[in-house]
Amino acid sequence: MRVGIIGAGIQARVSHLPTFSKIEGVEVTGIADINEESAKLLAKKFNIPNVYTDYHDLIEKDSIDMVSICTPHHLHKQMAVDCASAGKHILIEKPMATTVKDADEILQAVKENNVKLCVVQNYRLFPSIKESKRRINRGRIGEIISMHGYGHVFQSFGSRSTPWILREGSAGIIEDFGAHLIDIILYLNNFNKIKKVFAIGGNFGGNLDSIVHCQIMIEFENRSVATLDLSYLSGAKEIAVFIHGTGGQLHIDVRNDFLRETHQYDTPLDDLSFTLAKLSKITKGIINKTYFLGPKMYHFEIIKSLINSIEKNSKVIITGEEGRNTALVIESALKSIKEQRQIIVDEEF
Amino acid sequence: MENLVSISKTKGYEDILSKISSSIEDVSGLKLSDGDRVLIKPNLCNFRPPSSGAITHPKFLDALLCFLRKNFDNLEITVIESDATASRPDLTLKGFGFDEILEKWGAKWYNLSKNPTIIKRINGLYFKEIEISEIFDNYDFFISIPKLKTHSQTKITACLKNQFGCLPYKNKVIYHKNLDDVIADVNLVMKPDLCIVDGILSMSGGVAIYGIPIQSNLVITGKDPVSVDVVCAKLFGYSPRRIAHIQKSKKSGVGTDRYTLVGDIVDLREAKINNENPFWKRCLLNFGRYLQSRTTLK
Repeated sequence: MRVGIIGAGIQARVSHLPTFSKIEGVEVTGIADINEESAKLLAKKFNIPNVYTDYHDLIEKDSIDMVSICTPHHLHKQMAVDCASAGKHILIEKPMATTVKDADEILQAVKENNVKLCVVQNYRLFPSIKESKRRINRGRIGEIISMHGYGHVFQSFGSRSTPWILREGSAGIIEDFGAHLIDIILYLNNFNKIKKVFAIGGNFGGNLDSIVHCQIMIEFENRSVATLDLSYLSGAKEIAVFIHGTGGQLHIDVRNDFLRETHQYDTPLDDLSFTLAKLSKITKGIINKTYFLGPKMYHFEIIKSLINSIEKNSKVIITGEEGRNTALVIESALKSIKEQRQIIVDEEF
Repeated sequence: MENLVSISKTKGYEDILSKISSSIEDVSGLKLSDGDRVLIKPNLCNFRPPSSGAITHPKFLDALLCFLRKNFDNLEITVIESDATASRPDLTLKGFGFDEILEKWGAKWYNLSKNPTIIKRINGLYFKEIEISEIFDNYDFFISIPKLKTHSQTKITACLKNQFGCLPYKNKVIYHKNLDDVIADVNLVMKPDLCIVDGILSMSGGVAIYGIPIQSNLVITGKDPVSVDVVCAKLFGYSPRRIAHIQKSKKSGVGTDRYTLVGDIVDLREAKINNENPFWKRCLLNFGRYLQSRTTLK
């Protein structure tokens, strides 16, 4: 299978290209970026024969089967539509789109041209998230009452590939790291229909026209509620999800990929048991050299699964329809912050 | 007549009506007459959502009422439960949609703690005189529909323990020191004619109100509460001989532990209920609870 890469930034460099190079039968034949220097640098490092400064040339001149879109979020739509129209299968970085309109246009193009599209929501493949999903589906914590996602991450904005997050009209942290948490929350809640979204936050008193911290509240049709607490500013990194169910609670330490299930009447020995299990997991991760790979190690599974679904014409692991839900939350939350009101999804979209 | 206990395997609560119907047939059916007064005792032990596995699921009661209405004419059906030390079933009834189900099938709600009582003399293990609701002097058929759960004190809580909730006295916590004796006594005076255990979503590893919900998809039915509890104990891997309230109820003459299994599952090994926690973890967590219960502020 011949693959083309659009975007020679950090995602292509640290995640997509190293992963493609490890998959047998896959050849990356072209890379496109408006910054020729970056594209050439990656082409040299990963032995890619063709370099383009216009992605249209990549999809027209290079006889590729699949395209990996690793560009800034607001550029995804046009690129994905063009790739689908050219009959190329698409691997697209999260979020697939930042507005519902863009997501719908991508889905329409994908459907009309009968190509496969898979969104890179690699956090969803963390063993702790998969296990949480299994336990939720088995009813181990009963019905979900509420979910709380915490995404406090550091973003330096120092490299070439990040200042676009603060572009005009951007949803900032919501479309950046927030897209991971939104996907985890929606996935674990079985993509239950979203009824309402309300968000507060903003630029933390500075003059940047972007969202650098916020809280998003989501109400679902199954009566459960979710909050997402996001920022670039916190003095301590935190990536976690708490899920409270009628029969128990799950605490997913996403950063350490560790899951803790609790029920009523915990004792200090429960804490000891969980602490030992967590220590053991981290130690094993360090010995196996997987601990510091973190989310990067799950690109392999996503790309393998997309190739498999192209070959067998089966369903992809993370669909465009699921990506649309993330776009819906991103757009609603941004709108809610800007207009300082609750967004009732059925009335707006 | 042979004492039959049926175990039915369900697909969650989807096929519950057909499974209740077939399991009642398995234990040689019901003989009810026109206008009979039927009492139904679910387990509404606390304000816990049905999906927690702590109370009889409203869909289970709905299916039973549907079965009774479709198969018998003019039954006077009353659903009963009592207040407990930390429980007000009137709230549970409204909180989780039971009230709508009762209205739908024309069944009455009767809080045993808020209605007149009578005194009965018995030769019990704990009671010589027992105060019960007067409704137990005025009925034709009593159906117990408990939840299948483990219990920190009695190991399991299923059919026999469900009748403990028929005692109208609110502050039932005072009986917990002699719980096994009290359970045997209440079943002498308020013995169910039919037991259908909601083991579709069961609960394990906790203290009856709290625990780990398990999708076990089982309905256990029988006419003898002792036999039904023996089967329930074995499903959780307990030896019935080590469960005092089962043994005491048997000795008091409530029922027998000799039964024949019928229904979808006739080999109990096929239906073992497991909360997935490894043995070492169960021991550690139980030890922690033991230590906590022994530790007091000095």
